[in-house]
Amino acid sequence: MMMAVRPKSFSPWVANPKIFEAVQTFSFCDNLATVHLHALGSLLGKGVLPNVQCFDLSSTRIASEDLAVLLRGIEQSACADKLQHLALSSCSICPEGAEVLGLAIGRDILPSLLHLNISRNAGLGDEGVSFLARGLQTSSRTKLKILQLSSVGMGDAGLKSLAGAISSGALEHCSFFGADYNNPSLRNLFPFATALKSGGLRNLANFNFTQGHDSAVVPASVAILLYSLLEHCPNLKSIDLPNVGPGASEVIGDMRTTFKRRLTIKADDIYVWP
Amino acid sequence: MERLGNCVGLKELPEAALAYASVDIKKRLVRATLASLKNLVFRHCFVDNETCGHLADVFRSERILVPQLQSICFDGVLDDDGGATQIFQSMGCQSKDI
Repeated sequence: MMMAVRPKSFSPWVANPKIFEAVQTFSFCDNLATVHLHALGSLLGKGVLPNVQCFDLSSTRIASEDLAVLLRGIEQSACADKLQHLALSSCSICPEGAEVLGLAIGRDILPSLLHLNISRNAGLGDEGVSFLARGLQTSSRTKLKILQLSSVGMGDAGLKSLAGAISSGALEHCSFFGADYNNPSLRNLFPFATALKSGGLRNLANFNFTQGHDSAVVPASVAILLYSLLEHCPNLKSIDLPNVGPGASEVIGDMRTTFKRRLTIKADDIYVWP
Repeated sequence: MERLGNCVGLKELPEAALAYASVDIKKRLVRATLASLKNLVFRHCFVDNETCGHLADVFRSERILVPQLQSICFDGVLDDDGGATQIFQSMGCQSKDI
């Protein structure tokens, strides 16, 4: 039987690391197994992919231990100082995973991170958001501009901790995008409005206030939020307000009259309550 | 498609070609273009394990000395874990570790 002969120029199991030296975007949204995540952490630790700026591992189930291995690999890699975009959307990240990530941010092992997408990790909850907020508060070098936190099961406590991180100035140079908050109430929007007043979001460019169909924001709380945004965020360019509840159109109309600024407000699918 | 497989100097592989080409053509496409390839993106196509094996072989090629590759994207396209395993092995993971 004839055996397949490998060309001389190919070495079995020995990669040519130079091929990956210039790689800036590494995206593997393919539900990798734990063994692959550990392999990736090991590769990073060995200096493969030293110039990656964008890591996308969305749609992969990542346990907290796996995330720890990955972040350890990044920490040992030259890419740690270059990584700008980390996408961990739909990764089933639990509060323990958020703690690992928050600690990494707090220890400034991702000093160049500009964009963190941790959306659609429904199990994150208030506890997970609090860990992230704590990391942002602890960090002295964070440059995070875009934080995507939609559909993470955030509630009152999460919003409060996030407001704390913002008011402490950790997100001073930050655009906050994709805040998803279910069941807000007038009371719980106050800490957020206070954070805005402190100037913590003065570079905010876009605000996305998405909520579920089973929740309602009363017009008064929309007013508080939007007036605070307009008053304290001079760089605000657009606000997305799907399903904001009854009466919001009047509030938005009033705002347009009061604040004569170029501002896009998307609220076209306002949910009308029976 | 045959002609495309003989092209050199491509900076990005056409996804349509990758979606419908035979494994042999995919192999030739990748090997012919990798020296100048900047973006290796598999997003709207299916990549079977055999193709992953060929890609892995190309990654191991000692002939490729000039690093141009800037993006590697496999977004929801792999057959199963076997394809990812081959890619990671080609990047330097020992077979015993993965």
